[in-house]
Amino acid sequence: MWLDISLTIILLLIMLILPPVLDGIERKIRAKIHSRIGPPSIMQTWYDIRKLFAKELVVTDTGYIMFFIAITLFSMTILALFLLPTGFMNIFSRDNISLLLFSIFILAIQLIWMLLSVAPSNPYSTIGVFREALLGMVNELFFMLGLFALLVYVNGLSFTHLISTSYSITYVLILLLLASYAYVSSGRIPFDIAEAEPELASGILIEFSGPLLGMVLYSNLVKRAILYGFVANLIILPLLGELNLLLKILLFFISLLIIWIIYSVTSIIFARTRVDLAPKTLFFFYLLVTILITITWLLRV
Amino acid sequence: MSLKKLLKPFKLLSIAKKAGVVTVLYPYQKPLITSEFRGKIVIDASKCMGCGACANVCPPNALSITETEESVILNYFVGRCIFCGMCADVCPVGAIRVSNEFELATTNIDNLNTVLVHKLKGCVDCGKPFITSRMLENVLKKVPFAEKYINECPDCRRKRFINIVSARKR
Amino acid sequence: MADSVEETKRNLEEMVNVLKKYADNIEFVERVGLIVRVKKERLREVSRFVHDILDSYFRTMAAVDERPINNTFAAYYVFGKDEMGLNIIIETHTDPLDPEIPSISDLVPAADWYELEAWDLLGIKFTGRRLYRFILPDEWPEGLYPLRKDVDYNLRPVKPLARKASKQAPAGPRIPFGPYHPALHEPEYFELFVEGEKVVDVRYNGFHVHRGIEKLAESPRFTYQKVPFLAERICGICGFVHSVSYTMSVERAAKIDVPERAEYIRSIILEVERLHSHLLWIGVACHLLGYDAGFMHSWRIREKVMVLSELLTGSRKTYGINLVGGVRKDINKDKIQAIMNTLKYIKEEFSKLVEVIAHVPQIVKRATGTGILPRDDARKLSVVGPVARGSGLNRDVRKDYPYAAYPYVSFKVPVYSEGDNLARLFVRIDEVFESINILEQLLDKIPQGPIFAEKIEVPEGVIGIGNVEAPRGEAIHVTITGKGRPYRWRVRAPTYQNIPALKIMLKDAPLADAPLTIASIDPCFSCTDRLLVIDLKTGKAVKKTMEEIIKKKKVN
Repeated sequence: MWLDISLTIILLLIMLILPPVLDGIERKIRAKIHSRIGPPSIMQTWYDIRKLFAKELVVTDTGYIMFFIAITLFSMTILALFLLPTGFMNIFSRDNISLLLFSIFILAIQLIWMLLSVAPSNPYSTIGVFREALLGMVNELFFMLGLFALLVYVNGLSFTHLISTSYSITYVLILLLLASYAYVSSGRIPFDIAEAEPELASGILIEFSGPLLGMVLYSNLVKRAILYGFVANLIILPLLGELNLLLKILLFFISLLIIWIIYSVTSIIFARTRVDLAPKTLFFFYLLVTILITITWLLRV
Repeated sequence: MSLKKLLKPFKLLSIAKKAGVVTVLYPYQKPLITSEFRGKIVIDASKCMGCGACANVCPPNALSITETEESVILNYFVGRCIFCGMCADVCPVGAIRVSNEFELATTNIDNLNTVLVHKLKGCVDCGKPFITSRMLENVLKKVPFAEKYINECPDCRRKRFINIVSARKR
Repeated sequence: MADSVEETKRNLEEMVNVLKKYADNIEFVERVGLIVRVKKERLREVSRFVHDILDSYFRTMAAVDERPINNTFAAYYVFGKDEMGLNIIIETHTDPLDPEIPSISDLVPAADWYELEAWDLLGIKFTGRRLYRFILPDEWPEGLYPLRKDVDYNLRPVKPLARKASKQAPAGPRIPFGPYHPALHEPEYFELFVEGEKVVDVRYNGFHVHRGIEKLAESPRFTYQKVPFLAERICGICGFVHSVSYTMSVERAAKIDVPERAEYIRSIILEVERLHSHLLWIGVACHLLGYDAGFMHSWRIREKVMVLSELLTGSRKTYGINLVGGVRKDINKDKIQAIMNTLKYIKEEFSKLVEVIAHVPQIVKRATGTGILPRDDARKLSVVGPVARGSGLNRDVRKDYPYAAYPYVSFKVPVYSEGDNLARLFVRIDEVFESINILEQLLDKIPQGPIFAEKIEVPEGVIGIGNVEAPRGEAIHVTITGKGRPYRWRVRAPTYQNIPALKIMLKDAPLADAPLTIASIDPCFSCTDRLLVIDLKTGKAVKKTMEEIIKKKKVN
């Protein structure tokens, strides 16, 4: 019991510290691909966030609402983090509806992101939200379909059910669908159209500064870690079985790192898509995967 | 075929690998400057004779000549300098050298000015200062004959000339 | 070949015969062009004839305060007949007290901005059109025309007026693009009016960085040999283009023979500059499309060009080696070898990079079919450079009005007819390879000899036109010589001609494409924001010089 609780707390702390470090690693990799030195160390993102928190808080007309929403976003993100297993089923993820709850939190986080960007009445951020919503319509729709398929496939609503699941073509396809979802909703190129820097001058982030921006950026990184951690869990949980606990945890973090790196390299290789192209492309891609899932399901392979 | 096309963007990784890291940790590592780089100019005070040719040709007026009663002051304000090196081209005594120094930012504006003061030598007749001693040496070196009149200021010279002419007329 | 020579000759004669009907007098000045002097009442007829019937492009217009000389205001409209490499300069004069010239902007849409500029800076009224403040800031006092000769170059209006409220805007959401915006690297202001994500109207509000360079060059603190350094500072990217344009205009006016070696060196530096500018642009375009890897690698290649230009000239930019009459810095064997090595590196690396860039799906998708400028509109607006060549117009000053050492090399002019952003991207990519090809030929052929003209004497009151194909299009300078310094120096940067085309490109396009489309003309706002021509001594019979032009074309 005490071991459980202390492990849960330790891993939670690690998950809170890790995302900016992973981002630091990503920045180093990106620099390497760009043929430049890049930031001095992988802790640079943490330094940046620390710097932002040291700045004065500027409260604009809509500042109070923004502050409130940012806090909500932050706490919602932390709540979702609580539910995420890290190779070890912590006391929250053992709950028998943890997977369902987790998905609801993820959808809520996406929603609050949009809310956050509507708050300042800036034309850039308004357009940013419009784009985010357009993309979200496709993205979240298929997330729910994929999630539904997953829940039916594992025959349960908890993360614990994933352990007893076995791999099959259907499962791989569901995995592909949810992994793509994780990629798109983490706002990476080519799908970062909402904050497209040259077009919208940072779009939805335009009105934030100082500690508020620091909090929003940090929440965004934690959100990435949650999404990628979710994918990592989907991949490794069915494989782990009766491994040593520490080994399981190690395996989780390694796969999280690998997923993060694969995603970041992909985003470096491609360019930003356009707002009318993105939902179309995504829609057809998701539709194809969904149809394949259905077919394989019916064929029971 | 179409898959090959789709994977083309990943060729970037091999390009990047081949290129390696090309940036440098400035200012810890010095940036590369070629031998031809033109930076701040350096005026050799021991050669300059205050003729003002450089100030005359300087496009942004970074070099300026001010004449006072007793001295000629050459001022080089690097804040205006465009580093074209025209002054070094025209300097008759080669006192101006173009260096490759370019890190010129400073917190004290005085560091941007180089002031060179030339004392003027007086005329043997009326005592009015009119020429820098180095200019005098230089003129003598080029035109030894000038020894006869170089110590007089232009006014006295003119006067003497008029006197001679009028004496002859008489 | 002989046929076409004969034909061109006949065409020119015919042209002169027709023009005789309108003009007071026609004169051919060697190295400048055909000067047609008309009464202002006939200006519209002549312009229509030259622009529509003769099918020549509008190149520039210089308005001059000639009151100290002949008590008139003058305007020199420079049209260019590309196929013949001939400038047709329509000169007209107007009353000094109430200067009025009929507007030709309805016949020649490209002349729109020029008329507004002449109104702002010289107070010449163009009748038959709406005139409004265009270049000068809102605070500038009414009725004070800075380019008039009786206004001091260093005058500062005593009491700035309060800024006027902004003009009435169309309804609907307005997306400000500038004056400071991450997609624009210079202060310029586009107002995009959008419906959802669709741009319905564009308003351009420019000239934030108008520095009065033309006025400054006429001021007593400048001389003929100091202006090249000023001209170089018109643009931070293609400065050498302006310095060469200026020196060329003075050299042509004064009939100075520049040594061939100097001409070669100028061409070499111009091509090196084009390489760096195009590589810069391709990088920026990638960045705008969110492809930072392409941006970084394009600039990595460009860095080699920058180091090369430093080796050749002593400075990475604003080279400062050009003077009226020649260049200041010679190149030797070692430097030629250095250029060769750099060219090899660029060729290899750039072709690899281009292959990758051209296969990034989002770049191809987003550049295809966006920012379309149809050929007809391009022709009407007389656009220049890659914008014209992307819209199917075969215009290149290096071929059409040969200068420096370009007549001695052979090269292709890439032309694409699609008129979209992708076409303009490809034009520039092709030109990088073409530049490398030109440089190789120049290095191979460079003759020995002096690099500076022996005698430099500039007569007063002569007109000269200098044109250079800048990376973004044709830069054209018109200089009227004065005493010790230009009497009037009219600069026209390529972007000045291209910005009006943006309105057509942006209309009804998605907002997401706006930055790329604006960038696709490779705008150089500082060049655009700055600010002509003159009386001639006559010359030789038209016939004789005609042959010379034709000969010149043939070499090319």
